[in-house]
Amino acid sequence: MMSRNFRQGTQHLFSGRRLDRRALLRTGLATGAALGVSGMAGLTIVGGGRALAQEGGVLDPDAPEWEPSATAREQRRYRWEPLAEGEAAEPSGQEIRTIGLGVSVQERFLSEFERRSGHGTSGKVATLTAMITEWLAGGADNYDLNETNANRNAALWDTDLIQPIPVERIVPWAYARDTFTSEDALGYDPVSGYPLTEVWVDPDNQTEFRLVPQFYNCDSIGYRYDLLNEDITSWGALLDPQYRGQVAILNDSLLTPGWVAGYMKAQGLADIERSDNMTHDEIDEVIEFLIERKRDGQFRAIWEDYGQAVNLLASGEILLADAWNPVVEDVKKQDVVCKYAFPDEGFTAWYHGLAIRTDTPNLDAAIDYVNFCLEGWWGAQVALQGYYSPTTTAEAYLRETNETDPEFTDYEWWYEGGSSPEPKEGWPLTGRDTGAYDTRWGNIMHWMTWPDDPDYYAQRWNDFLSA
Amino acid sequence: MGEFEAARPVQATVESRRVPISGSVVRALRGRPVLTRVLLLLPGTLWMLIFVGIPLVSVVVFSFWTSGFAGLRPDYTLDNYRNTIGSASFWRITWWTIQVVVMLLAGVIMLAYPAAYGLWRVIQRPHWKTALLLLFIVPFWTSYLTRTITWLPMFGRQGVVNTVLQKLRIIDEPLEFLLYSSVSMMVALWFLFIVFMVGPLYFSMQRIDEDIMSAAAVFGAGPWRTFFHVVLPLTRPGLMAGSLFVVVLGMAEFFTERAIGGAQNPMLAGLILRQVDIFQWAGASAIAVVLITMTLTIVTVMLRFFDIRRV
Repeated sequence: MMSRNFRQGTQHLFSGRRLDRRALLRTGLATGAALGVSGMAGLTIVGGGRALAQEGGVLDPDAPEWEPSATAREQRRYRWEPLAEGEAAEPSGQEIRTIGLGVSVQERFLSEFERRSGHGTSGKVATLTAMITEWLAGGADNYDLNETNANRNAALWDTDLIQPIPVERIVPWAYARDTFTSEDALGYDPVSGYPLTEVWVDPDNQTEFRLVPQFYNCDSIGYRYDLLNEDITSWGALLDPQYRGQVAILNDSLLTPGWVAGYMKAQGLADIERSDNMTHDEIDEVIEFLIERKRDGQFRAIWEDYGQAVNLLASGEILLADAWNPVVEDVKKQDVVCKYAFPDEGFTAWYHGLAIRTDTPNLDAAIDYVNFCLEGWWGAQVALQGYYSPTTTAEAYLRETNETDPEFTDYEWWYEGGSSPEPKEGWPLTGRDTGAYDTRWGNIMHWMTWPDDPDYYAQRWNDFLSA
Repeated sequence: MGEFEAARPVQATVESRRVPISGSVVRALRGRPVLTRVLLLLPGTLWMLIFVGIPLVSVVVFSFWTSGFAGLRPDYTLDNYRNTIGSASFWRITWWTIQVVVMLLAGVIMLAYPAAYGLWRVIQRPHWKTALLLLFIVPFWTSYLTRTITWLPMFGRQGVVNTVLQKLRIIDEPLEFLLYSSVSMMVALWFLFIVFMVGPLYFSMQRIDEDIMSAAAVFGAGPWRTFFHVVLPLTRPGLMAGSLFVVVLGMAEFFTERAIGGAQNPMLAGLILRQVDIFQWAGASAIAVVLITMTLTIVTVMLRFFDIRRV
């Protein structure tokens, strides 16, 4: 079943005794960086999957359970076989076909999954609307997985296009952040029950996923610090006449009225119960307020897609925008001093998840892919794009690298908000501009949910656009 | 004699090629003009039926269904039309769409006539004519999206126009209206659509008999009089063909408004997209049906004034 090199390379790892790091180095297998990127491999055999490197296909009962390692660049010792760089698993004959945003469906991710699992892959990049539409219009048969935003997932769940996923088959979930397991977690919304209500079939017993969290974040205002020379601390800045004609807002009938409502509620400008799911009267009040601001020339542009938001800020056409993550990170890459605000009213939170098609013929491979995405390597990759992984398994990887800033490990930067006492030269930041994970998630305005009456949102949003 | 002798084998070759290729089909169809016509029309008709007819009918059918998070449902209702037609913003957007198309058409005509006239009368050397005509056509070898977004570096705060004007000290501050405004959207649209008018006009002008132009000059008509009384009437076929292109494509326009106009004044096609974004396919279909009906009405009216077959 396995390639000759691979079998030779791994045979003695599972000869009934546990090998320590030194022994591995002696074998010549563990070669520095090779192991750094290949640490996790064995998530492919969970619950009916395939043991990649087990002799005779039998699991070694004495091998330790997998756990995240603090030494990510070393050979791992969990019972699912790691792969060194240059090695690849024998083709399994199975494949996964997935569809998602460009953030998660990337050739380098799929290649790594192929290498580790032996499963073939094909991935299609699409917008959120396009991917859901394709599935609902009968195109679901072309895929095994869907990587989608949680607030759209009900469309797939309610039409029985996706299946519940048993939690025991998702091994790294043992290291899940409490955000997706506990009502006591930072950011949990007791009114909507988000995110638990969207993650679990039954949030109380948590035995089956509706949607397995894949990556998540919370958004705020992106602004040109170099041109404004002040810190923005409220969503209200986007509506403040002081910045008239220097603001862009997102053309979205749900998200934009959502943060405006959150601002109005926090400032006592309107009596709004739930800014993520408003009544008709509440929506009316928000839209009228927005129309007033629009007529006053507040908005220079209404942005439509991610790249447009980056260009608007980077070119200086606008100075402030309600910016998705990681718009600002991409602006910074153009050597422009741009920051995310830490708004008094809180961030807007969201998560993307993995769903498996009900009738997929590649269930085991799809489960393997879900495991792969929750393992540290994948989590570390998306962390460098500014996202969080729902498990803590990425930490080991991120503590070993400092691709973001030579002063910090990537974990310090992305999860802990940086720790340097002095700003970098010419740069007003000492780490992630909105701070550490706990600080950010302790300040959530609402989750991006699907409201009860999206039609009314759309109708009134059209009124705003045409006003 | 020699030439005649030489020609015969060529003719024989042509004959000998023809017969084996189409012989049996030709023989079968000989004397059956109706069948021949049907067979000739069949591929194109099937193509249109499958790829235009069925989707169009589907859109009409869906416009009477209901839709939502769980997809389209065949619960026949008029609600989609009631909601669409009963919405004040729909009529504002429709009125704005018509205004844009009228401004687009007027601007394109005013830009295209001098351009086409210049190509026809002013530029004498054929290779210059070809080169200039290519200048109009070559941009259309790139994608529509690319052509649209190239206006961003032109019109932006730090774009070419503002930078030049500031360097020349004509302005102190960048002109804001050059981008993300109705002005910038119209400028972009005019230049995007000009080729649809220049081409038909130029080819119409080329058909004008040189003797007619000479006659106009001989009888003392100046350039303006010649243009309005000779060129304009004779280029009506080109004008109408170009206008049809501009109107039909202009009614379906949405991207320029979004990218260059700042998305603050949506057009009808943009409204359809917004509905699709929130899974309201039935509502989107109803708006699409209204848009198609409006476009067809305008085109029908235009065709009543002019027979397209004369182009």
